[in-house]
Amino acid sequence: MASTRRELLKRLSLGAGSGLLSPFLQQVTAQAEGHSSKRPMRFVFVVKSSGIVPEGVTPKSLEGDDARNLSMADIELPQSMSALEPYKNQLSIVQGLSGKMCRGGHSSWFGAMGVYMTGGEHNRGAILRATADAELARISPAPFSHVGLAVRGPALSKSYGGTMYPGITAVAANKELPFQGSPDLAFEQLFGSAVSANGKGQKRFSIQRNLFDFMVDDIKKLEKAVPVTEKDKLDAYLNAFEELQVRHSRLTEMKGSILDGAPQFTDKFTSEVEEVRQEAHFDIATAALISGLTNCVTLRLDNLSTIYKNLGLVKPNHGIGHDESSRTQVECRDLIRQHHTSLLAQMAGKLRAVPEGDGNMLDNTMIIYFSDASNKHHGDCLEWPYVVLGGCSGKLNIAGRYIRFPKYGEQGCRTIGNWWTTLLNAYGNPIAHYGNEDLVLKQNGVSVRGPLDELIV
Amino acid sequence: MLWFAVAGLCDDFKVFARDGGTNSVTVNSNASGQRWYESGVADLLREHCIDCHNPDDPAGEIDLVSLLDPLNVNPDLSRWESVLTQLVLGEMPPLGESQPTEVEKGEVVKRIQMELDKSGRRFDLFEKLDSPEFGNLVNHQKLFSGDVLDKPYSPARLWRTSPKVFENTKNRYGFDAQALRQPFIVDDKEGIKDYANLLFADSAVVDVLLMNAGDAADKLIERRSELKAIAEVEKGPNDEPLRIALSEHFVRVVYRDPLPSEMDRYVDLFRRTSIEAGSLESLRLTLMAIMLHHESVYRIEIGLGQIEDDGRRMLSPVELSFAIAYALTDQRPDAALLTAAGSNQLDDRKDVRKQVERLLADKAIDKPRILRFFQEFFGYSHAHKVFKDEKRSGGFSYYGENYPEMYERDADFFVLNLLEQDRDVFRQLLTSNKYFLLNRQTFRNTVYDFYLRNQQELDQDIFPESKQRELLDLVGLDDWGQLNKKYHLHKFNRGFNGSVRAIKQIVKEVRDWKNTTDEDKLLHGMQPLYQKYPMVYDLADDEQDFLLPQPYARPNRAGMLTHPAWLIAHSLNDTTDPIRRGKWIQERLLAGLVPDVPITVDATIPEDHTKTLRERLSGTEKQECWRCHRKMNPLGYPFESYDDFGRFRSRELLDKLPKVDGAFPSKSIDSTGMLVGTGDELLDGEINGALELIQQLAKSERVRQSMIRHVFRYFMGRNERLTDSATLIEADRVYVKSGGSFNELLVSLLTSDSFLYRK
Repeated sequence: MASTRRELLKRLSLGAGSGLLSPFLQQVTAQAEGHSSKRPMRFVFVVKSSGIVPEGVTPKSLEGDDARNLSMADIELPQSMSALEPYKNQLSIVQGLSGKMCRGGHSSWFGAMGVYMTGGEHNRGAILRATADAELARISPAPFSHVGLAVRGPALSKSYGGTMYPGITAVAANKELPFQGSPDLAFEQLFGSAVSANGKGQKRFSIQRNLFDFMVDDIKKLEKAVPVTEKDKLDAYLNAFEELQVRHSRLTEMKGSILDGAPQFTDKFTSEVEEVRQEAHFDIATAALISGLTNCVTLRLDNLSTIYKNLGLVKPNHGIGHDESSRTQVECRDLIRQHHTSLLAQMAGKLRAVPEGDGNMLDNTMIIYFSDASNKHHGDCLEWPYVVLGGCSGKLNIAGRYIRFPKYGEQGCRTIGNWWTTLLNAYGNPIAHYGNEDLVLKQNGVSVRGPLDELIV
Repeated sequence: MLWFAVAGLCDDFKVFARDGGTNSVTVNSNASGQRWYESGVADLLREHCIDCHNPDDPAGEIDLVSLLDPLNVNPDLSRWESVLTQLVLGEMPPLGESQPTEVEKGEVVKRIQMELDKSGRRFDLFEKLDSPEFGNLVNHQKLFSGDVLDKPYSPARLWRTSPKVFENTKNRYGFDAQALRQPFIVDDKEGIKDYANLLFADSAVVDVLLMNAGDAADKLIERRSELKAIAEVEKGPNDEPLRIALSEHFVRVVYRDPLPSEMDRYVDLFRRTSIEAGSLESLRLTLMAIMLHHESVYRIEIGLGQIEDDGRRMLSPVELSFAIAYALTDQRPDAALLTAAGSNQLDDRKDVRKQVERLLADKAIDKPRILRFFQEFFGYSHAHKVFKDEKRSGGFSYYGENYPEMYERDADFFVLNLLEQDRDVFRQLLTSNKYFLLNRQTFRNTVYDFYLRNQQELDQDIFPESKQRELLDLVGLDDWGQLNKKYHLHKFNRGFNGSVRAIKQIVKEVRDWKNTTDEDKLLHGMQPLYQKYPMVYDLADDEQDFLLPQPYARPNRAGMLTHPAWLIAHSLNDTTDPIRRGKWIQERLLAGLVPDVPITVDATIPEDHTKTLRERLSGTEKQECWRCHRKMNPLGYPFESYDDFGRFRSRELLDKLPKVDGAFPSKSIDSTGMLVGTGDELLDGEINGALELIQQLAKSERVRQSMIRHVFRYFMGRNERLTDSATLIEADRVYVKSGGSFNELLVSLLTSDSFLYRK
């Protein structure tokens, strides 16, 4: 795989005629050959519903409230996370960060990655800014700059399949990232330029070029007739289609690497079983990263309507959160976590198998697993646990460590604003502070703006 | 098929393009610095500037003699920029002095700018002049002086489809249109947003358009038999059904008949693509191409009507029909507008007036853009974005219904009520103390009250028409179809139709939701969830009465600037915001300018828990700060009589200090101010409190004119220029003469040369 990929990328860059294309390909080629001074940067945001209960991800020997930052080398992970044991040296558990500037309840919506209060029970609310995942996607461009995959939509909705807007990721103020809810459609959209289940995707991809060419030609004709002062507006429209032409060419040229990386199309991609659809989305996300189609995926893993029937559960997440299940909430959550972490482990395994530079692709990837409902079913945002997997391109001092910040309100306590600022700063966005501040902490003089310096290499 | 096809639109464009579409003066870009300078710049300086700006006694301490050397000899770029700014803004030469002609001035402006461009120095005045926040750069006095004799016009332009128009027209794309996403996002910033020159259809727009087009095309082919039939013909359909189907889709989306040449191109696209991918995929792609047509993305206002001797072009009847419809309704032109456009009845100002008056008079036609102007102008609809700590407020709630959003709707009601009266609108907006409180609860309690008074008949299902009318009158409606336009009801009540059953449902809800059997509370109170809602109107829990006749006069309040929604929208998370409130008044009401914060200034307020906010802001009164802050602080301080939740107060709580005897320490509010240099002499002087300031503002001619300038910006989709002077003076005259009718003001603006002509 590795040598094929390297050769392919080399071929690709030689064949690339477009000026727009070159910088991206040069970067990727250099990375493949291990010559780049700048390591590749990939991000995967795996967002579950119903909160991550801190006790569920805390190793037994580390239970308690005290602040910690220690190696997990000799620490046993919770049983429900045992799938991650083989990756422990690149696993981090980060706890204690609060998010009281966000709305609590069933979902904090865009606040979870946008760090502000928005939305109501059924209302996704205002979009103030690009969420942190979208900001990170911008740092590491690729043909598909940010891929959104969703098994389910907004927290309490029953929406299922097709284009979905789960209310967690925004690419700019007032602009939500569309998520693909159907694995088969996601497969076609991402890999359809090179391979598809029934040939429709390739055909559709191929003729798209006609549409883009038609639009470019049409708009150019009009340009001659538009007042000089208004030409910029038409140019913007024209450029958008020209960019699509370029992406089309790029994908056409990447056909080989896409073919190499694309998963085998099976009935997994059309399954209606939730756990299988999750696996399908993970497969697609992993393959899209390996093929170089994208460097950033946000994966909405489930919502409160999801029922994990294959795991033997009969109540949806909402019912489990309200203790309606015959099993205890802890048991249900353990089962679900075991399933989720095995999906994370599969992704990590596939990325680790692909050599890259002196290491492998997992070294240059950051997979963050967390919930849009902070710490419980009705999240109170007092704590927002994160489980991180991957080498994070060597940017962060967290691999293999268990990190717990002081409790909310105590000296040294920190917020998710600090966390996302840390990530943005570490990866090259110099923002002074990302998101809103916690007003209560601020009034009490314990609010600190800026990154968590100790986590940045 | 539409009969008013804009056939030949593109040909007209070409005529337009041939003469450039601008007024530009040809400049020989190869001319040497000396030559450009000799050809007018020095003359203009000598004739109009040097008399005052000479070294002996330089006016404003600005000596321009050094500029008598050409720019390439004397690279004093800042001074050249200053000259250019003064000329462009019409600030200099001052009124009363001899003026260069517009042609002379235009020539000199071009030449100076060209030289500055060569120097590589970025000069952003022209960009600023196009941006809503710098609209006031145009000199107010000069604008209303009557000295500017130019005939008004708007620039020929493309104007991106507004998000609201898209929402209203997306069902024309095909089935399940509610699933289509909004491509035309407008930044939700403060102030007027939909400016023609600032909105572009870029790749972010195209991404969404493409996705919408693909989804819509799939559904169309699946559900429309004529399209399905085409898709199923493997060898390719005959021309006729294909052309008919594509043409129908074009008319639905682009809202005009396709030109034959356009149709040929679509058919060609279909034929070429079908060879590669078959009829189904090819039809899908061609339908998408139609949905991406540039006219569904940009509205085009070139001026395809009559050409005047001075080069201005009137909008054609079709252009006018769209311009009028979009100005007021967020909808495409209605049948009456289209009929007028197609039958020579939308050819001149008189015809336009007739249509504008018709739309304004017809209550059945929604005109949401009018209320939106006031939302954007006052900015009160941003209240829900300023998060307040629930605990600190003593009950402010974001759970369930979001309180600030409800205050915003109260403010909408306040505006709509004054617009309905349409008398002295601007003054009333600034001074009326009659507010609407929580209309949904008032609605419910009114229905409940009506039931109690008519219980016997209603329980027997006796509900004569006269009684039905009485209920409608009680809630201020002509018919139930208006219900959801006027009230923002709970979703359970939105289907209320005035029937006995619906009345009884409300009665049940009132009893169930209030969790009490106390008849007095049932009739006058509200649900526990909204218990604290009235606090921002200075109403204690036990003062609640939601069976009030509305509007309801509140003490210590005057108009929008003391409405809780405005006060919250113009506050910070945990404090008031006198500086930005003052800036708002300076810019929106006084047509004034406040420079950007200098980059060297650290604009943070020092923390001192023993001081009031005003005391903490005393640092801004240092000489170097006061130059700018004098334009803001004195206008904002009077509003310190309201806390950051909008509650009236005479003392400021120092709530970061420890409590003493169970209460926070407090200090008296100082709400006095001294106004200097407002631009209206009658306003200058001592001000004692917000109510006094507001009354003064409401009397000011400058304030009225400033509001009219903003109305102009919103409805023209651009900033005013000096050349719009005649339009604004006439609009002001009409408004005053009509006794302050906003409708009359709109008629004046929408029949003005600025609206009708392009150049």
